[in-house]
Amino acid sequence: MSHSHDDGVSSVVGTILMLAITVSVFGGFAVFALGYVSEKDDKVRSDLTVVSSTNSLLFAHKGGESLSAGGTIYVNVAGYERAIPLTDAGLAAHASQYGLTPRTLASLGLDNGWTVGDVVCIRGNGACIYPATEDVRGAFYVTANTLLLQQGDRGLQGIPRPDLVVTLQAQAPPTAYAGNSVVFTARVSNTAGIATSLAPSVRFQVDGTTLGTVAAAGTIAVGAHRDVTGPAWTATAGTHTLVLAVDPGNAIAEGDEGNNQISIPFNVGTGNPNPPHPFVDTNGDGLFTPGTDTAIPAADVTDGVYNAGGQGLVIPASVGPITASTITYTAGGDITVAVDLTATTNPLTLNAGGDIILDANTLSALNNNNDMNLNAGGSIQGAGVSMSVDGHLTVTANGPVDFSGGNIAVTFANRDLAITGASVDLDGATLASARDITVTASNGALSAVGLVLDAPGTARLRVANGGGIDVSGADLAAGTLQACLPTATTPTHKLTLSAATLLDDANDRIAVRIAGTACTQSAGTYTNYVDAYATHAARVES
Amino acid sequence: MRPDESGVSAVVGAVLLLALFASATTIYTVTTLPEWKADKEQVHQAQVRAELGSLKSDLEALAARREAGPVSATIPLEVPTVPLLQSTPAQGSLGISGSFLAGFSFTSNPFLFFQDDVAIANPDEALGPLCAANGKCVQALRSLEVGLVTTGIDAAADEARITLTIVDSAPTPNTVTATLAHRYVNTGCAADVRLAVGTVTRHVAPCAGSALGASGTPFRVNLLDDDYPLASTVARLAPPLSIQLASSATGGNPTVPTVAGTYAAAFSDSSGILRVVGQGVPTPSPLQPVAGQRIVYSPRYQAYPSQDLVLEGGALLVDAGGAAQAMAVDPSLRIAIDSASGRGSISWTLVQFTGDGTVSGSRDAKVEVRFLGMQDVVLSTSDDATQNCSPCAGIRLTTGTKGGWANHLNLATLAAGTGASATIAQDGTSTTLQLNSGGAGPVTRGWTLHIRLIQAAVEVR
Repeated sequence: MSHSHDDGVSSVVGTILMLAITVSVFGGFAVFALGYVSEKDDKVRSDLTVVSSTNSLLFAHKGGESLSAGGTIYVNVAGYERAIPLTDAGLAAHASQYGLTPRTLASLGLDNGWTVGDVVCIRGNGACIYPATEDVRGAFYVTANTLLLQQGDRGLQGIPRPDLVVTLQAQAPPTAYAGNSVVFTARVSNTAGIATSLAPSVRFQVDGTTLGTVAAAGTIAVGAHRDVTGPAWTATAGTHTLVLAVDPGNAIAEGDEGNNQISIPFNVGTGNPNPPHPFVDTNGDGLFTPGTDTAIPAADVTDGVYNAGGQGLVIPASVGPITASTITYTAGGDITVAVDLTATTNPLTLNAGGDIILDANTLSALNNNNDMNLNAGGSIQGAGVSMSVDGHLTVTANGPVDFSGGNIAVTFANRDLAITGASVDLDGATLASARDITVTASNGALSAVGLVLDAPGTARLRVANGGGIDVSGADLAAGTLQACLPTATTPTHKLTLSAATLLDDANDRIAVRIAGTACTQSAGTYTNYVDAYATHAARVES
Repeated sequence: MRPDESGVSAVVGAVLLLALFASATTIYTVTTLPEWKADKEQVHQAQVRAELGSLKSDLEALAARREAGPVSATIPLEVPTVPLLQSTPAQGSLGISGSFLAGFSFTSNPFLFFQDDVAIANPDEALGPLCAANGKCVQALRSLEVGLVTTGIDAAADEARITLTIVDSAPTPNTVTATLAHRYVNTGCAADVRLAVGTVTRHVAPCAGSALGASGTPFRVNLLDDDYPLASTVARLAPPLSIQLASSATGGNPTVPTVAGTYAAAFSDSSGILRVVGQGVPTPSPLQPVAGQRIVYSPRYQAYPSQDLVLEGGALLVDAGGAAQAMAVDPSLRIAIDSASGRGSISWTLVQFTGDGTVSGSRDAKVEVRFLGMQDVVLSTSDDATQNCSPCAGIRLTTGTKGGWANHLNLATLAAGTGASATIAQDGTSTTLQLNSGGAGPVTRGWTLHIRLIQAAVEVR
């Protein structure tokens, strides 16, 4: 039996093996290559860049492969997304829908596709899809289902809707007092979406009571606002809550219906310190309370004469300066004056059964021999006041007198300045008279720390009872300076001259009349006095 | 019975299968290999761009430190191949090619002076004292031009003049005064101009044929020209200097002359920055045109677009041929409009390359750059109250990649919102940035330019 050498060879097996190998190799390549090719379908090898600033938003091609025209730019405008197909028809339809300047692929520089150096201006000045003023918050470029550029956030999908927000824009008057007629003005702003289809209305409520619902003057565009003024409300004292609600009936479909109302607490005072008119102050608190106090027409006091009878009189700053030939204000209660008063021909007189309260203002009595008289059954509160008198100035109060920091001058020749009060405070004040100055504290101290006093005649500083005279740091210039202290045995009845300048002229003299012994005690308080004595031959009379 | 296998050939079957395999492989190679090559070439282009971009920023950092360097970049000219399937690699070249030229021009409109970008309302207060709140003062006065427009000088008593006062910072301050007088001299001339320094009076211009003009025409004189003793005197002063200029006129019979003075000055502040203010640029201009060279990488890709990369003037540009050009790495350029003052400002770093060398083929190329010098110049155009200065100033770039510059300047001006205050135009060889005032867009009253010029030597090997 002979054996062939290919007994172990099977052409069938060989073919099958070869086929298997071929199929395996080809299949492997096919799987890999087809997968790769499929993956490569949408690959873009372009250097696309976003250039963004406060003035513009641009997409720029800065190298690599060109892109064929097409794809879609999605833009977030005021929070809502808009799709802009990059075709001439798509651009035209978009411009028409939103009222924009029509653009074409050519005007955007894309007529030959998107190649190196081409710039698509989404927002900005010039040939842009949107003007620089548009509220563009983001933009995306998508082509062949591939996102190639992204800037900012995507907008909300669906139908854009307005979003109304209400705030309190103004209140008149800005500070309300009981009895005032108060008017509130609301500001309605449309913050997103599209313009409102209707003129929105605003409901005004105070403490749960509806004052009224008022419609705006028209529709409101995105980013715009309108002010709406509500009905008047008569203020009552206390704490209140104002509630403003825009579109209370939900007549306008909004993107957010939950931000249409605000609550604002506010306070109303009992009385107004500066109403727009003078008034008779019935309750004597110096504040105007409607229903309690009586308003006076301004003309009733600006003519210079008014008598409030047994009540108080208040002339607030809102009245403005008053100039009249004669000024005479009389009141059984207090007189409060917060304006400048000028009497041009005749005297200026304030007669108050209570206090006279001056608000650092200026009182002037012009013309020769034109006196000024301030008479108060109570105190005179005139810190910082400025008084200029051509005649005599006479100030008399049963209570304390405070002219600290004031500037008081009697300017005409041979006219005197006299101030009398239970106690007198002239700290930091300036007194000047053409002749004599007399300051008398009838039942208390006379404090004149830092006083500047100038009188060519006799300047008398008198304490009748109950206190001392303190002119520390004062500059006292007078022909004769008399400091008069009562007979007393207590150390409070002393003259304190620490660091005072007593005389300004070698011919001046000083006389300190002391009925008691207190003034001679208290070592150290005479230091400057002694200096003045040595220099100017002043003498002490006791 | 054995089946008949006479028609079956294992060899034919194998050949057919191999043919099928070869066909499939060929189709695959034709369709897929370019994608692979394009990927590799794109990566290569990005690598070259990054290398050249780093070189640009490294040079600017070198200049900021005033160090010579060098800084270098290695550019692979050959793109790696796709193994087994790509026989020939893509290659490129790198070398010095072409020129980059930047020129500057300025308005001749009337102007006001500025101290640290703040306009000085009264021209008589111009230049003095030039120590601003930031402590920068006049350190060295390089030139000081004054001009005068006079009318009505027709009598011996008539005189229009500019008075200059310079006070230095010596322990006992020195004061230098000079008067430029324009007066009538009855020697056959219509007018004469004399410069008086102390008690010395010299004629600024000869009588005959004076170019300074007759009555009613303007003239300009650089008070620091070497012809006059003032220059050497100022050179000896101790900085900082306080400078005061004032114009005035006196007249007699029969007409009082009127005078309108104009000024221009170039000086260094305490930061060493050259500042130029005034009407036009003093002569000679402290800012000469920038003429430099370009470093160009030119690839010869097989699948990816072959686009040149050009490093010039302080920027890296892509040149895809024709008008298809763009900025790959932005220059140090900032454009802004200050809405409060109405003034525009440009801060721009320009690089001037000089050198040589070209490499092509398969090996890596090395580009080496050395810092040679740097100059800072600040130029302030007039504050144009009428908003009608067009052009206030212009910067003209002449280069083969003018389109890329135009593209970038458009982006920069759009981003800055300059509107018509800055316009970009191209002609056959150049791109020009023109700075205007007024027009559509923001209200612009003038421009201030801060140009930093870096000079560098480059070698490609």
